[in-house]
Amino acid sequence: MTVRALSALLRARLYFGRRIVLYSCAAAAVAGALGPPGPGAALLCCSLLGTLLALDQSPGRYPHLDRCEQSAPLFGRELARAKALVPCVVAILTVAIYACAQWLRRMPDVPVLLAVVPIAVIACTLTALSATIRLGATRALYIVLAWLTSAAAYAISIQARAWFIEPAFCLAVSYVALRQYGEALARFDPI
Amino acid sequence: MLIADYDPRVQAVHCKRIAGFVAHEPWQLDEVEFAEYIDYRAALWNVDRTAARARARELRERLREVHEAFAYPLIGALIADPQLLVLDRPPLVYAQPILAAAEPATVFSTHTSAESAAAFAAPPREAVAPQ
Repeated sequence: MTVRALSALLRARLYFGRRIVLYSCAAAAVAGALGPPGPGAALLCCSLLGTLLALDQSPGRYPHLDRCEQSAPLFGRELARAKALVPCVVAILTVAIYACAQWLRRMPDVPVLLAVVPIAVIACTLTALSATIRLGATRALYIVLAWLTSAAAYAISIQARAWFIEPAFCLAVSYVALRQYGEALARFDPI
Repeated sequence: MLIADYDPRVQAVHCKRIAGFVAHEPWQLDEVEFAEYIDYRAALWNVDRTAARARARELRERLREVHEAFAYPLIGALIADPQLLVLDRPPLVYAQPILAAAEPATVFSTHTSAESAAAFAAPPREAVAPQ
């Protein structure tokens, strides 16, 4: 997949999903402005937003974009990587906005927040992406798995203070989640 | 079944490269969004942007009697010059301009009525010899 195609897909999905992007950023700003200090609240808020942003990529939300992308000469795994980038980009943006709001309040632990939360939110978002192509109990299961990923990242980094294990854990979960999403898209290619 | 010697079960990407699909549902876009849509399709199909915009302008002129909501998705599919154009329940009233714009691609379409199927089975207007 060319960089041009990747950026075009990213721009198109961000444009058509601009409303939810705006609401997510606003929610992150409000939560950062009102929430308690520390990475826990940030992780909770941004993981929820990341899950919502991932679910916004469900088939049928933007049917014309879905059909363009499914009929385009792209491999399923390439399409999965491109579609996964959309909620991850916005999820990182919400983390940044949350951190800015906390920093403006002169809250402590903003550097810890920036070190711990982004990678965990990405892992949560990528896990939630697998829920978009499933229905019923399986869909709910993947959403719960996404939140458990965030909870585990919090437990590893904050409770256990294993700072170097948390990124490795989140990277491993992200890789598996993205791989699974890509395999599912490749298997269910409509052609 | 092969699509131009490609097996869609194992060479899906090759098949998609030479085929264009137009969905049944119309898509209302304004002029700015239409230009962005053409750039988006050109990027996904790896078509030169300038050439795609020129082709889109030419097709928009040829499809001037077709409502934009039906014309724009069709133009998006045609900018990559597909060999096979798949139409899902195309509007009967625009049969002739759609067939004329789609040439020289082979058109495969689905229909919900015999009348619609017959309209799309007829040769396009430009191909009919004058009396």
